[in-house]
Amino acid sequence: MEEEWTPKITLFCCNWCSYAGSDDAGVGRKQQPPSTRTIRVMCSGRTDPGFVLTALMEGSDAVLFTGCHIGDCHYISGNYKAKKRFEMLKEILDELGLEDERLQLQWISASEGSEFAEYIRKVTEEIKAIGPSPLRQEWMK
Amino acid sequence: MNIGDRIVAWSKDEEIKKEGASGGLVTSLLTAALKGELVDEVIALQKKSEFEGVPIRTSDVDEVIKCSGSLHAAPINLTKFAVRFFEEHPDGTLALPAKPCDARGIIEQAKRKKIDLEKTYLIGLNCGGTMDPITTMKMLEKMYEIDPNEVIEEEIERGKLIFKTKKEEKAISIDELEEAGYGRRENCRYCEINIPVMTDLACGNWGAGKNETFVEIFTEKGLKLMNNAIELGLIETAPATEKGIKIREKTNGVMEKVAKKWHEKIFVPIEDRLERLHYYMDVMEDCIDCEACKYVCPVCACDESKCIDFYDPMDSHKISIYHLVRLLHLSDSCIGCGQCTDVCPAEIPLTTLHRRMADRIQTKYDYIPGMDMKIPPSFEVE
Amino acid sequence: MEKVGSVLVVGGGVGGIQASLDLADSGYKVYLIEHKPSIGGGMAQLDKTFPTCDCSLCIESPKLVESSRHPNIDVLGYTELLSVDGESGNFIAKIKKKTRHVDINICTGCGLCTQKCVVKGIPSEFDEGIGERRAIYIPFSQAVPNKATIDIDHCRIFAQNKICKVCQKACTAGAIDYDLKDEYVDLNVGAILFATGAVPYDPSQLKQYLPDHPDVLTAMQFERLMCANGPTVGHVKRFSDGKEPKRIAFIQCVGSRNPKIGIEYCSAVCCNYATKESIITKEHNRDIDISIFYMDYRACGKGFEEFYKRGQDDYGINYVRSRVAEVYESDGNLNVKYEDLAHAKVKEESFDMVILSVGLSQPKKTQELLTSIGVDLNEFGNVATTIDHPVETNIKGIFVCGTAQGPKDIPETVAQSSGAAGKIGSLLSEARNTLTTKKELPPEKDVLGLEPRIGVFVCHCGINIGSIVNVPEVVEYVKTLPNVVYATEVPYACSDDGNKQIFNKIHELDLSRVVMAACTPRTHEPLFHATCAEAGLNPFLFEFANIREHCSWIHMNEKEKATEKAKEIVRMSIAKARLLEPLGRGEIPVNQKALVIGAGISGMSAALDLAAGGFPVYLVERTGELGGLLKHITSLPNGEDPEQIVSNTIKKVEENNLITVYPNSEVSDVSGSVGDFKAKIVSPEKEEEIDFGIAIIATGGEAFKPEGYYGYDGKRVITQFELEQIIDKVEANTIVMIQCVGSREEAPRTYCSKICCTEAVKNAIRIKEQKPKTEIFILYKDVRTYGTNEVLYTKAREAGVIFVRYDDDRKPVVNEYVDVYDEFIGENIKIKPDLVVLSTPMVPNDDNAEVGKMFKVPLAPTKFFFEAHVKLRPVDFATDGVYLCGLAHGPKPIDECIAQASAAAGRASIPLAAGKVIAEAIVASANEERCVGCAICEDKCAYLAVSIEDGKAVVNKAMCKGCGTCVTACPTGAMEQLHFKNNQILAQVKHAFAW
Repeated sequence: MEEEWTPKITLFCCNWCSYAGSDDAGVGRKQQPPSTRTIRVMCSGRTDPGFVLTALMEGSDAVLFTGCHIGDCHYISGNYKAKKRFEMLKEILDELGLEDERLQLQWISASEGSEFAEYIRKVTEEIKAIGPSPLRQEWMK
Repeated sequence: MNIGDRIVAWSKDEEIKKEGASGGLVTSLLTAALKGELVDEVIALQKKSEFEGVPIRTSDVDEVIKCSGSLHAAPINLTKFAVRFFEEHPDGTLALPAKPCDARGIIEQAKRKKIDLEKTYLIGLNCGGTMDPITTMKMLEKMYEIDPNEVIEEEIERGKLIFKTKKEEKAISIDELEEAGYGRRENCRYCEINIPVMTDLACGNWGAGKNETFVEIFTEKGLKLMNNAIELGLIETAPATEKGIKIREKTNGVMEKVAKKWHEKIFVPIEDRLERLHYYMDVMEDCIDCEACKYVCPVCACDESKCIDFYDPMDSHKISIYHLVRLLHLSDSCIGCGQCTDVCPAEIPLTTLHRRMADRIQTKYDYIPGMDMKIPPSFEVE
Repeated sequence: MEKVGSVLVVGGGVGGIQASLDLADSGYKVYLIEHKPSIGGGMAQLDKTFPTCDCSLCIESPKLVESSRHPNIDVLGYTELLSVDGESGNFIAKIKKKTRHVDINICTGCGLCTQKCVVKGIPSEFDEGIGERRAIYIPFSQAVPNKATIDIDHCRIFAQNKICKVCQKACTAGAIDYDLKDEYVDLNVGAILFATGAVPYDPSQLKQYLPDHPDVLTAMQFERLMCANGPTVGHVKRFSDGKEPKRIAFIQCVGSRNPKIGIEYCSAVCCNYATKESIITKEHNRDIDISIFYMDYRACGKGFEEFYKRGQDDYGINYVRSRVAEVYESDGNLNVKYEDLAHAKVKEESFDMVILSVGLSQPKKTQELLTSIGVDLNEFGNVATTIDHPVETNIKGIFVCGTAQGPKDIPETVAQSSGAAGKIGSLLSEARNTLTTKKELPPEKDVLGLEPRIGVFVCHCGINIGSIVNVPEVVEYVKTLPNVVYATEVPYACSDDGNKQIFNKIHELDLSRVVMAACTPRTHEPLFHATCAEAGLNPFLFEFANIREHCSWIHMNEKEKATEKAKEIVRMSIAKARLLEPLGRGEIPVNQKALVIGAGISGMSAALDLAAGGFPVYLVERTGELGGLLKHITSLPNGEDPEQIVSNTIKKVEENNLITVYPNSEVSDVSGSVGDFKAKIVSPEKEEEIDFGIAIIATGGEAFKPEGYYGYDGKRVITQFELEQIIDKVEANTIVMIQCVGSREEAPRTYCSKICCTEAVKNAIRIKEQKPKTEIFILYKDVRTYGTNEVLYTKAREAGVIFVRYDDDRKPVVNEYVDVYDEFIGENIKIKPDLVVLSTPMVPNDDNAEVGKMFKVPLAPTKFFFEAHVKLRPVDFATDGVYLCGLAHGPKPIDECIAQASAAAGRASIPLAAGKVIAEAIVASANEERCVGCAICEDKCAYLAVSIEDGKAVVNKAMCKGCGTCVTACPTGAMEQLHFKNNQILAQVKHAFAW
């Protein structure tokens, strides 16, 4: 039997909220599909669109921007800037022809482990539904 | 004279008047700016032939005079020459003639602190589009059946492109030329900004009589340029006629309409996502990593930069990160000047690609780059 | 007499350790003594902690290690306090360092002797008797100090006078010396803190529960059974036949709430640990049926009610309200005979295993020691304290914290520990820094420009990682990666042993990078940073790979995929590690003034403690008067006078020159960060700009107004809080009190308010005392008079207060009559009250969100503030320099508020006293050659740390907080975030996909 395909999702987490939320999900043993690869940055404002583009070109089936809720940024307004960059990136990727689901933004607080796990489950299902990224290298398949 | 005035003007210097187009006003303003010590240097386009203009930076009045005359097949952007000037002379002052895309590049650089706009006199030039020299020479041979070397003058009038040799004068409608793949550069065809309202004053022949230039003054600096030249006795002015003003407006309106049509024609949406993706992958496949598009770009302020840093030729990505980062970085600031397409040795239609992105971003954020000092969305702070 | 700048901490549990760390960090020399061979206390024995189910040792172990390596803490294991002489500020404590017959200066803790010793089968104390050890032993693998100890009661040489010496032969280091004698030392200390803890109640006299049956365990034994480092490596099984139990019963209140055995109090933790143990058991095997036999479920603490709910709803734990009469065996089954309180029937059920939820009790020996020193004990045998001095004993200079003072959970213990440390710090402030030493680090090795030599350590974390992720496979894979010169698996990387291994390998193999594949950097990075630094490796050449929280714990049913993912996570970290660069850290001066927001009892107490330490305090109060809620309380459960407490405190605040009080004022426009805050204090009259180094948030809470509940009108139907104020004037023949009105319901008031049951019982007794003929009914869901308040519950029943239980399904109906179903008689009863009193919860202040935003600190879903860590950092925020205490943290009684206030002040005193904090190393840095001066970065910085000077970006390192937003904005790549450089993150991104 062929093994079920697990998408590969690059997850950018800010140190203070979403990474902590992801830790919280772990502490709470909130089971998630093994789809994400986390990259810790201090603030969502550090998530360079260049990293996102690289992840997508490397074959990432989706990239998630995560950080503190608007207003809760540990660094005052880094997440606001992240949001702006995300919006611009979103337009570019849409124009390039990438599906909407492949770039997402989600705010997760340090105490939202359950929400975090739920979100990862949801995203993984969404990506499974649309299949592997068309940017994956052929030899990867 | 006041800000907002629309006038006609012409050079009083016979030599300039003879060589220069439309009464030689622009050359006179530049010369006057140097003579009146309004600026330290000016940038002018030195005419090598009808198909080759080389920008020079000079403080020598005679050199400036030699540069008189208009060139349609010299699609060079002067922004980076202005940037170099301020790199060498951070406190210097500069005057230069500026097509809308020159002016827009300069304003974008001013936002990036590379140009001091307060110390830059922008003598705006109305522009209906420029032509690629090589294409133009081919066009002369094929469409006009004229030896390019014999051309002594060119002009655009009533939608027609006119070439003159010593023997003859031939006019073909621009539409016809462009349908055949000649005429203006592609980005010029859909450019809707013909009158450079972001400069200090805009000069052009629309609505002007023979041997005079129609001028609209926008700023204090524009006023200064005019008064300086008048005081030095280099130019003469007269109020623009109502009829002239109307003609200018009408011409501009027609140009805008044509541009919109071209825009629709060139930017046909590719509805299918995958098809779109493949379009981008296919066109960028030929890139040879020469980075010329970056160096020539008038709104890019970087030397070494992220687009190069993030790119590794070993990556074998389906679309190179170099271009992706540039597409993103320029999406709010691209002015559609066409320089990148012009220089690309692999003939990638880069300007079109950039405009596809930029149209979306610039519409989304209601931001038109290079029109004023309003900051781009990516600069925005809370 | 001159004060001495050292402190003796007696007891090496989590309380003693926390207090020692706080004291040592704030400039005092600490002697931490523990009578057992290792510090760690009861917490080290636990598998997990409630309500987060954090791995207990995982969160405690870094503190064990930190205290053992702290230059100003002497950890003296296997040491007893004998006597105390002298007075506050200058005591002489006589201690006995019991001989281990092992020279601790030589012993490496390798454990060879413990494997060779021929005397086997000795019940292990650490395993609560269900595991075995030998006559020479190290109690557990993360023991601190990690030294062997000979048990002379069992050693053949000492106990049987035989010639054995097997261990001496086994010891390659030559550490074993049978002639070593006990050492007696006099310690000269300024203060003494008793953190002696409590022990689990020994149920051997309660024969009705078959305490000697192999399948009847105490909860602590069961904890050891579940634990990965326990005798069965975490497999839950019966000792009688080795089979996994199918049905487990927990019997609550064993050794608590039982006047027959002389223990009246409630032990406050058992309900919650029973739920925790049940949840963990269920996580091991969902098919195990679990019943918890309880009288009142007491979820009194932050997040506990929600935890209880999870136990019911998510895990299907069967909570049986009952009294257990006996446990008897028949046909190999354990039958539990109980009175079902919900149906007033006697029932029986059979189980495979019975767990006795034993309470906390005070060992006789500790009580004798305390009494001999002159420390007063209360009626329960705990150290006696008062409500307004919860960590001070009757003897000046002698303090208490944790369960020595009464039963309590870990966060309360930690709060008291930090509180006691704060109090001691203030007491001895003139002697601060007189006896401390600075840790000297070896010179850092130069790694720049050299090919990286990476060492990778993959942690099993017991079975936390190792049972899911195939650790050996990960190690083998890692060895194939470029620049990896060493890769190994470790059982517990965070243990002293694990750290030593890293230290040694850095030296042996000249490692220039270390990658730790284990848990989360958020808790454990500092520990490994320190280890690297001690080995001469710049700490920023260390990189974490989180394969626990982000892998093994969340992919428990997909072992293969988890292993694959773990490999990739480690590969990503190695890719980054290759590119890491050494970083330095500067020092940031700390403004030695403090801001306290809220002048209730918590805020005032914190302000007074800070002022006592010599630090000026701005005390800002929103209302016109000091005192907060306590001003409206007219009596206290233990009979102390609240009026006196509050007026005394106000007086002290007003008389204190160092405290400036701002009534009718609010704080606004907060800027800056630890050490250098600025804000405005705004009142209707004026606006003042202030600067300060730290802030304590003590914004308090208020009583919930139950509009729409039970016909609340403020007249005939009032709140408990309103009753409190008119209690002496109440004219009523019949009073009905209804508990849990507006609490334990939907979000955001999902929580138990902790104090309402005690409040109701206290008020009922008061009315009964004044007018014994008043009929009082208390309608409740669970009577939560936790801890020593339990005696009030007894007293109320004795006074004739009638308790009627109600269910959420059958809530009382209040009209002219109160109609409630009484499950005891099995029918509805009608009461005609003159007064209905609703016990409503404490709710968070409505401006918490605003204050939180100003200081960049988060709120929990309940809208109370969310601390840095529920267990171990109860009064800290993740944000440096901001602390919390009292009702701002969650509902709690006054003594706990005051203890937290002292804790917050104590924690805050650490940077205040030092006058500096170590600056961020992870900051932005501009490459001048690359920078084109476009100034995009300047606009992006929220801290105004970036400016353009002479056409180039310049970063002010003191102001930069290291978010990296400017780095992202920079188009040229001239701006870099140290430790998160573009190429480092790109390497991670790319290596997630190197197939």
